[in-house]
Amino acid sequence: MRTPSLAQTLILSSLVLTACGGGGESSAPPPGGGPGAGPGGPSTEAPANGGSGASSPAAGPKAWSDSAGTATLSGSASLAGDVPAPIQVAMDSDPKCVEMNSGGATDGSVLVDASGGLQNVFVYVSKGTDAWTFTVPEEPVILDQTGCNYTPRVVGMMTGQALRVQNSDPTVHNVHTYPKKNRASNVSQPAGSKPLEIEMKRSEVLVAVKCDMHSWMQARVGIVDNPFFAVTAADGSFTLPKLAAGEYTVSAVHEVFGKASKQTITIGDGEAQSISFEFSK
Amino acid sequence: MRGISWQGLAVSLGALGLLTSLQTSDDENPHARAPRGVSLVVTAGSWLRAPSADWFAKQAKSEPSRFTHDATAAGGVGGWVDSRGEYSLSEVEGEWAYWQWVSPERLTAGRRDFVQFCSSCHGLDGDGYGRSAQHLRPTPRSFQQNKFKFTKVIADLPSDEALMTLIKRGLAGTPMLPWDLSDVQLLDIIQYIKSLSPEESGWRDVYSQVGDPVEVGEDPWADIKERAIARGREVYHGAASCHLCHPGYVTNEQLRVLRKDPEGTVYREDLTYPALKDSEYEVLGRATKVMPPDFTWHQLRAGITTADLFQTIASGIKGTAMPQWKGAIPDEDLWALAHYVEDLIVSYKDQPAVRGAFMKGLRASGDN
Repeated sequence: MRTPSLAQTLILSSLVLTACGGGGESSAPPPGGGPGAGPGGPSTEAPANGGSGASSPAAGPKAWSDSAGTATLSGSASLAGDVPAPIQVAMDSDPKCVEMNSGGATDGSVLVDASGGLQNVFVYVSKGTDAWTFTVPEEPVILDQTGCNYTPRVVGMMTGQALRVQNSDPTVHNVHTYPKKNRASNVSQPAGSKPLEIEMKRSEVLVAVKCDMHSWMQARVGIVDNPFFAVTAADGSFTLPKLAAGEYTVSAVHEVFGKASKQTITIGDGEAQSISFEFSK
Repeated sequence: MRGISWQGLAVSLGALGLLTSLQTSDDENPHARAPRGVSLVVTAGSWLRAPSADWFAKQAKSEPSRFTHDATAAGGVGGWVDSRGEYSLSEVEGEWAYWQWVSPERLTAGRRDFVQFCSSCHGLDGDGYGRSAQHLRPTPRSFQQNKFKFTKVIADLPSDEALMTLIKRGLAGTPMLPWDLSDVQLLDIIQYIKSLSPEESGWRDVYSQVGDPVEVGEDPWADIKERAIARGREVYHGAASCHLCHPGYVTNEQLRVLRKDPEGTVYREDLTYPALKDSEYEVLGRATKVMPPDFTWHQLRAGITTADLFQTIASGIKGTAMPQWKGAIPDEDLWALAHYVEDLIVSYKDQPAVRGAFMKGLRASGDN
């Protein structure tokens, strides 16, 4: 529950004045008072502006330094039940895609290995990092379009970091994002175009990226406020290196099977722990 | 007479609205909580995202008495200030952003007209599901989704002027008629529509950008239309590959030549028909699909002049599969596409016999 903001107080007081006084001049809040607090007031301490936070009060979160991270959390994600049969994808709407997938193409949304390890699960620390502010990496996260598919299919990035979408294919794609908390975009990218840079300013897990021209093409982007995230490998394994000692809530999300139940861990300096997430169909 | 009865209703309901708002005064968002379904009176104003600095600069040229560039505004950094105090500049998370304050009086006026003119289709709360909506296709827009298809704007949201132009023109081939209301009424309705954005989204989101329609500029093919059409046909079936969603208007053999594909390349079976596409629009929580138009058959919504087509292709159509093409291909190719599409419309639309022969020719060519 956030405390009533300046704008809301003014809105309420102007409402009372108007209603009681019979519709006199309503006084607009002074410039600068309203927007920050009114619509979409920043509800999180914005670590995104790492550069300008030099004079912040000492009581607030500390700047993260990699030397604090001596613990390692690793683990795996798995899918219960039988390994699903791969689904064939018909690419015949675009002969260029057919050509690049001469051996046939299968849907990449569910990738499970023989022992049940689930690939492309986005694992991230969802709670326990409030004590630090993190610097957003300057370099963008790369999402490539090759062979009429996104590579990699699932990527993670920090809030405020740029997502660079590039087209390495000899055909046209459109890059259509489906965020719920961030700005949506849909821009076409013909063969040979320069990369697109997409910014996500709020944390959101997972944002879909799709190409409408090739309806099978899908990717997912996990955007979080800290650098502790990973995407599971082909055998379902992941590693979160460089955690500091402390208590964390770790979440895992898959694009088809949704969220696995969260896990809370307590880890000490230099420790290595392992957890596992199980998804079901 | 009508004015008086509206006023009477407003006064009595106003008292009701005050009571409700006092009872819920500690609520986080009194505006969104206002029980709009029962009261015509909006009890709280709203801070809404206003157009960009460019828009202010342009307006200031045509209306210098209203907008001033004030070096001392908002903490001495400078920005545009409206003489009526409706717009101001504010710092949000280190960025300079424009906000507009809309008073409860203005929102109430907008709501009154919205209920009278718009709500039967768009719903009392602007959810796109009014009494008449059930049988309307395409379905009326939900204003809680903050997505507008045909405003020809690249930014996230259309400026007031862009929305006003759309409402005045209507959307051809849909139940959205051209509306002959006064500018004051329209602008009030627009402010009300904007205030229907859910918290932290659309016009209530610090990060959203508001923009004007794509600048039309000069048509580079004005005197050489025939060449424009030929180039447009090339781009349509080539670099832009419009035929992945819209129909292809060539035979497979011609397509292979246009795309420089090897002999024997096969394209989609239904090449001369549009392909149904997913959209972001929801009706009562269900996603809807959108059929890309066949230019020789369907009525285009947002105008069929070369300039209209240029703007629509450049900006894309929000919430649908149609992406923004501005920046993706050169402007002269955008214009060429506009000429080609215009030529398809002029040559075949509303001429069933001519069109029939043309399409039959393509489909009978052997492999279509």
